[in-house]
Amino acid sequence: MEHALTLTGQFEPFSVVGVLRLLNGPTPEALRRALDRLQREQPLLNVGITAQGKRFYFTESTDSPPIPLQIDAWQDDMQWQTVAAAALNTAVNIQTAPLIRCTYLYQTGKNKVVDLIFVYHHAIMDAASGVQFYHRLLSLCAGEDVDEMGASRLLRPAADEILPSEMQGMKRNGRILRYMAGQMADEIRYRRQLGKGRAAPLHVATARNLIVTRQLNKASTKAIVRRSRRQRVAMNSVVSTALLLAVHKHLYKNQPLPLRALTFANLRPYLTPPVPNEYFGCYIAMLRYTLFCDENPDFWQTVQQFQAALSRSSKRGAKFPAMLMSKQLMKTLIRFQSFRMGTTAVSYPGPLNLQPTYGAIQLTDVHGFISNNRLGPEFTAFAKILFGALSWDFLYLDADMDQTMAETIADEVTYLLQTNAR
Amino acid sequence: MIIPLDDICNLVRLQLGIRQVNGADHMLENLGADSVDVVNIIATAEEKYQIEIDEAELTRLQTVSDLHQLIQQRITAANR
Repeated sequence: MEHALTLTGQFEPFSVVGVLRLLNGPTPEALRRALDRLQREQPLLNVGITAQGKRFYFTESTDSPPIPLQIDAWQDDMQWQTVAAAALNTAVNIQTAPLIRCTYLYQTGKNKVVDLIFVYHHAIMDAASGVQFYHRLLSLCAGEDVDEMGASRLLRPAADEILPSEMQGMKRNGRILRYMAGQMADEIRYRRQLGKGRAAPLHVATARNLIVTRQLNKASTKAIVRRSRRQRVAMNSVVSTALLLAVHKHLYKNQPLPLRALTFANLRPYLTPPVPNEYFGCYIAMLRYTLFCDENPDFWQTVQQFQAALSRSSKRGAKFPAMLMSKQLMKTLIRFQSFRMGTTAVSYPGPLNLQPTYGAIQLTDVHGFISNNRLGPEFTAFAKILFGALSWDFLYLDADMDQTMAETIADEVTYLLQTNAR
Repeated sequence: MIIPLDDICNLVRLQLGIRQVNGADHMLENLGADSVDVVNIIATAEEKYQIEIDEAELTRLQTVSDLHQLIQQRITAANR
């Protein structure tokens, strides 16, 4: 997976941006100390990436420079969005360690808002380890007594080196062949369903990432979680379907069309041995599903279809072949540049295991973004539940749509979730 | 009401369609459950025991014993 991500980053800027909004933020000095401590503990905060032949390798540096920290004066509520959008459109220099940097939009004073913005290469951190990183960082900033993470100094093997037994030897080849055959059958079905006169989403010449955010209140979040539980569907299926149907309605004017949605699986628990979230790295698989959307698709019926597709591929063990074949997929996409990966992509790690307070520091919001590019989906999102409220960080490309369209889609997602929670 | 661990092991066993489930088994790591399986297990437990389990609590669930404890806590709280 890291290879696929690095290839993507060489093609167009591909960064992960994480934003923490705090009240009573730490002093820049306390933040510097916390970052230094984390960098001592975590080997992946001291690496660069080197290309050797067709492969990429992490190169650990014992004299890695400190994590770059830029302190700027906090100006207004929207400043973080400008900083985040700029970072999403700027490539991370992979050769130079560390593959992470931080901007602190800071102001002094009791109960003042500050924003902490991290930019990093996806290969060193996924959502699961990112949450651990934030938790540990805020604990350290608050001066809490945090044990040294000695064991974390060890680099964990990449996911493809610790696959479960059903992905070893001949079984591995069989699984990959079945997965490839399934992907080809899906492609044929997709092209047939598209029909004459319609084209798969085409890439655009140049594009910049822009941001839209939305939040559901706690009561609506609780209601949609309860409803999804009664429907026996995972929240991942609910949020993915909501975005797909919103894009279908506004960008595709409700035309009957097959649309492709991307979702991400956390591989950590399924590896042998499992990889705890404390260990940095990227242990995810990207899965793609095609759903045929009628003129006026029913929300819960479409969620059930999405869930069925997810369940089928899960029972076939598709997440491991998908992870193993991701580099090949990216190579093909970049080489031919004749099609886009899909229509939507949602990363949904679920409720974030973070505290509302760390000493005097109050954590009030968290955002996450992963750069999109002209071969990527048309509308992407990071959705999560923080302190009981579901919120969305949407990304769109300026070449695909204007701000009004993006805001309309974001509002539709919120509307779909609120109305279907009843 | 006290729920025996065996009842929860049985519930998980039936949902996942596997022969043996123990309290110490990790639902994802050992039993190979995915997010859809977990939703089904939780929804079944909620219906059977007339309780509600919060989404955030699911992130802390690892073993079948964790699930058993959580269900027991919810039942006790509901009966207060």
